[in-house]
Amino acid sequence: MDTIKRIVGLISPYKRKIILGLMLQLVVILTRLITPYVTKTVVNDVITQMNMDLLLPLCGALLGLTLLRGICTFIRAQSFERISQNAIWDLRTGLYAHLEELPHQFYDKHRVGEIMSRMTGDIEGLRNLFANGIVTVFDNALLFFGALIFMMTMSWQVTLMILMMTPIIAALAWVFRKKIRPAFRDIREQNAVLNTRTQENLAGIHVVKAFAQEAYEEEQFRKENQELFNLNMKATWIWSNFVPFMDLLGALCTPITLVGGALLIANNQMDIGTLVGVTGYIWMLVNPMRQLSNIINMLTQAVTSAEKLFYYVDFGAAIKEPENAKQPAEYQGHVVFDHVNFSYGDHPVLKDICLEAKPGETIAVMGATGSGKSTLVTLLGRFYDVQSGSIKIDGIDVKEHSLKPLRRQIGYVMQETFLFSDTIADNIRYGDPGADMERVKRSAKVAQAAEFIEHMPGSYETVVGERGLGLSGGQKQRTAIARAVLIDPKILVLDDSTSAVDMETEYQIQQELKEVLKNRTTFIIAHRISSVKNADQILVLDNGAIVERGNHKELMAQGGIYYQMVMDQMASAVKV
Amino acid sequence: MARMIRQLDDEALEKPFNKQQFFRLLAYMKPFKKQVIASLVLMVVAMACSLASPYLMSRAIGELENKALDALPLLLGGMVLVALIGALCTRQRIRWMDHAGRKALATLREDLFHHIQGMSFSFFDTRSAGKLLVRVINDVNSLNDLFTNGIVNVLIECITMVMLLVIMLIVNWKLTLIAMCIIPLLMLILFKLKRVMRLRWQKVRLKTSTMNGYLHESLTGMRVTEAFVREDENADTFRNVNSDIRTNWMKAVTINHIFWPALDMTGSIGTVLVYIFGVHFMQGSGLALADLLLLIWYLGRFWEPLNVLSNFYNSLLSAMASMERIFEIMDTPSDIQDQEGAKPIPPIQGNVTFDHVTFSYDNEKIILKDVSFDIPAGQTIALVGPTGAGKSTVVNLISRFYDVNEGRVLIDGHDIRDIQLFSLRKQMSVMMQDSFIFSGTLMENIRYGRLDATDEEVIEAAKMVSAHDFIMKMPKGYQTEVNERGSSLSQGQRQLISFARALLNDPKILILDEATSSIDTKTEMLIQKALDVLLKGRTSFVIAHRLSTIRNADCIMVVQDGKIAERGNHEELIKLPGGHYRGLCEAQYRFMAADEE
Repeated sequence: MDTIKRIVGLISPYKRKIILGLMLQLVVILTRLITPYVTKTVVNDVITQMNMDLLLPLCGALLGLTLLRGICTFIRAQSFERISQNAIWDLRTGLYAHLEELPHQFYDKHRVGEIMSRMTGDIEGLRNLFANGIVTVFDNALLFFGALIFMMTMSWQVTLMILMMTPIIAALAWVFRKKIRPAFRDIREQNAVLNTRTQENLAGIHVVKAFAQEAYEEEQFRKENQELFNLNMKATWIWSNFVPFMDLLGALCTPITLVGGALLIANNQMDIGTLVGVTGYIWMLVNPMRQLSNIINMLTQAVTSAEKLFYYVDFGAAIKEPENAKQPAEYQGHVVFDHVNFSYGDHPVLKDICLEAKPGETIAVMGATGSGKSTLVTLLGRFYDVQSGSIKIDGIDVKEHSLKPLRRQIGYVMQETFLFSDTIADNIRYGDPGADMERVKRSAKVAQAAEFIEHMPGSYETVVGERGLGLSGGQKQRTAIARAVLIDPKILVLDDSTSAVDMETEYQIQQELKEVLKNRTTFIIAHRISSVKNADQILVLDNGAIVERGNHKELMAQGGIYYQMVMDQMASAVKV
Repeated sequence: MARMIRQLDDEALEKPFNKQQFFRLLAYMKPFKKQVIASLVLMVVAMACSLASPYLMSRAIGELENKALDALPLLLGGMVLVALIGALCTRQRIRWMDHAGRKALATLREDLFHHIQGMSFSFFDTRSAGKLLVRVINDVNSLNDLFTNGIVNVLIECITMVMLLVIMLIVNWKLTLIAMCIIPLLMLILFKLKRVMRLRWQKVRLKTSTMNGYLHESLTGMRVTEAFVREDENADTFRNVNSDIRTNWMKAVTINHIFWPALDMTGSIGTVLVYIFGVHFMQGSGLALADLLLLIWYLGRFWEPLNVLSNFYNSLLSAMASMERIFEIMDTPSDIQDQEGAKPIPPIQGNVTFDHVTFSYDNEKIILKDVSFDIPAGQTIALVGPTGAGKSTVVNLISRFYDVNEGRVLIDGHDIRDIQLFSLRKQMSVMMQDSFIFSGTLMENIRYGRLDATDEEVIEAAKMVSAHDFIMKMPKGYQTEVNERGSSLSQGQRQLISFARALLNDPKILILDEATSSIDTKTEMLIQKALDVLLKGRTSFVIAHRLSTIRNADCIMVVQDGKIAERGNHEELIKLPGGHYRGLCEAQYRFMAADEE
């Protein structure tokens, strides 16, 4: 009930237009109901009784009714379409803006594909409801009862005979819906299976070929394809068992009318014109019955869709701009973690983290996969809120910090590099679209990206990303470093940012970065000792807790986990 | 500055009719010739039945006009009978035609997939997986309507039109000709408006897919957007994209809204014409009321065949575009195929020889120039050199993912172009940098290396490459489901899985493109241990990034500027003054050594 109220809320700004539209539709229905009357009069008065004076006025009336119907239909349809388009526009752009505000938790929980189907399929359900649904319900109901009344006035006996057929048709249509829906759902699902199967085959074609498994792949594909065929045939079977017979029942209404009509005419209780007129109403009674299950289906689907959409709307932005948001006079990059605890669901990720990074310091974070390194640095930009403790940047708790200025001070290079399908230049200036080429090139140079970019077919104007030129992992990472450097942040976060470049390039990046890192607080997450050994502080995380801290020399002297890591890496790498 | 919105799809949405391709497609229906012909017959019967009904009705009314009830039971029975026959015929026709059409499509899709599987790497280099996917799924699907309904419907409707016309002419030719005045108007509305409609809806679809593309990408990159505070600009862009859709949608839908009233109006004009002239004829030449009604009812059925024809025309044009794209792929021959009479290679020993090999991917930029070397069985070769120098090319040529332009690649003395590709690759394992994980269980992923391996063998292989321990720690052990990109596994773990996969295959020649990614120290140790196991006892080519791998190799080849610039083992190469390898070692040493500074 609540959902329905909210759906109504979406179109309530257009209340008057809707009422106006429905009035127009009423006119349309009336013209349709009157038309068979005109036909009846033509047959009875003009043809049978040869009353020629009536012919032209009646013909004029017929054309006039059609014209009126056409105009009303057009205006009504346009206005409903506009209402639905506007309502959908509001909903979709509003949702998008909302999605942009949602915390990372939301994206951890909901996959892109799922959000996409909300934003497309489910919104389409609502669009259909607004554009056609409302009118269809109104139309069918009025037409059915209108036709019933008009028919009754012509001949109540024939009307009753036809009415006996309608429940049968409605029931058949109902059973049909019930049977065909799961069949269509199976087809959709199997289509998705075939889709995934093919996509995976194509994405992994190198492996397929390397192991010469083409025959196996084809067999797998054939199986799924065959299954799709079978499911399609199953649906065809159901379809062929119902649809022709629903048409048959509809068609049988005509002979039934004829039987009734013949009996009445034989007893002089009816004339030919009335019989012809009555046949004009048959479909108006039959059609709404056939539509009934469709309509119910559409309504329930729209409600389900709306429920899913409202779930997103209600997924409140856990992280909002605080009231009385603060901002330091000038950002220094002074970071303090004060007994920070963070858990994800009931799984603790960070335990009692304390650290202080003075402006300009470099903090290295090490630890095994899953030890909480990435989480620690995401907390800086307040992408999650901590459960207890506080994170202060330049003396202000991030929870009291104005959100956007805070994030502008942090240049993130994330573990999984994502580039947009846009030119490489626009990707680099993603954080500051107004940046000129000079700054773009300078950032690229620092990130050791300038050289490969200039070698690309369109240089900085080359389109990259999903729909553009594919870059290697290392090239992507370097572009991401350039992107972070460009915004000239006070705090730079390098989360495993050189994992995919070879050691030579990494060495070069580090040489160049040395300049850049001056006057910036930097957090580096890395596995290679070489990347972290010059840091002012090295933190070793294990299971969410800091187990060792100090600079390289201090940690080497401790002989703990860090020492062991250094020894392992030296042993495996350098025995020259 | 608004970020540019790039159009998702620049592909043609429709193409002019191409007879040759159309018949080629039609050939897929050939196995079902009998069913199709039988369906045609059924459709004609069904059509005749549905035309008979108004005829019988008009006769009945004619009888009733004269108060003659004798013939009524017969006419009634006739009406019920034709309705029943019509329904039964339609039922069977749907089944047969759907079966034939869908089976033909399934075959087409399998052929297409089969063809794609046979293509070489150069084919996949130039086509994105996404586009190929669209061919196999969407393009084939879009032919469905043409196959199952389109063609047959058009034939039937043409027959119907002729039948209608003939009956009407027989009933009253003068009135029929007058009524036919509306047909040109009808055709104009159907063909002209539908064309405009089609073009406008195409634009809507295009705009919608642009919106979807934008949405998909911005959702995927939402973390970046939030981190770089680009929310407001993106929301603006999204609003603009949506406004664009709305504008185009209204433009398109307006035509739809004109269409039906126009059709309705045309129908009324026809009816009125028949009334006016019919009444006139009734006075003069004794036209019966029944005939007049019949003509009006039949006239109302004329627009349906015309409608089907115009729909068919529209769907044919878009089907042509899909058809062309499908056949374009099927007509691209694989540039790597078994030669005629190629024999399987006998069990490989593992001698690999490059004999004056020259190679270029695009016949312009030469990647390898006159490269020769001879590797005895069982050696481990480390390939090093700058990015893009041709290391990957060397290994791609050994596994014959590409064919050489000049010279020969020999394995145990056989030119690999003279032997069956399958037999060659079966005895090799190639591991790419990016360890691809298929969705399925870990067991299945490892078994991909040799499909008939038992569970025990799979586990044994996993143990050998030290993958067993971490697999057993997973919630369901070997039965743990992993997904496409293996995101629940760390990079190092994915590598170990692909090692196990290769080991299970027990190849005579192993090719490994070592991942550059840094991996946490523990896993790194496991990988190095696994590598020792893996490389033992087979000829191995490793594009190496780890110094440990390089040092342990029997032979190091430095690939530079399309040539093998340096060759030898570590001790030999390190002594070469000014050599690339020496430079590499020095740089890494400087980089790795911790305390010297």
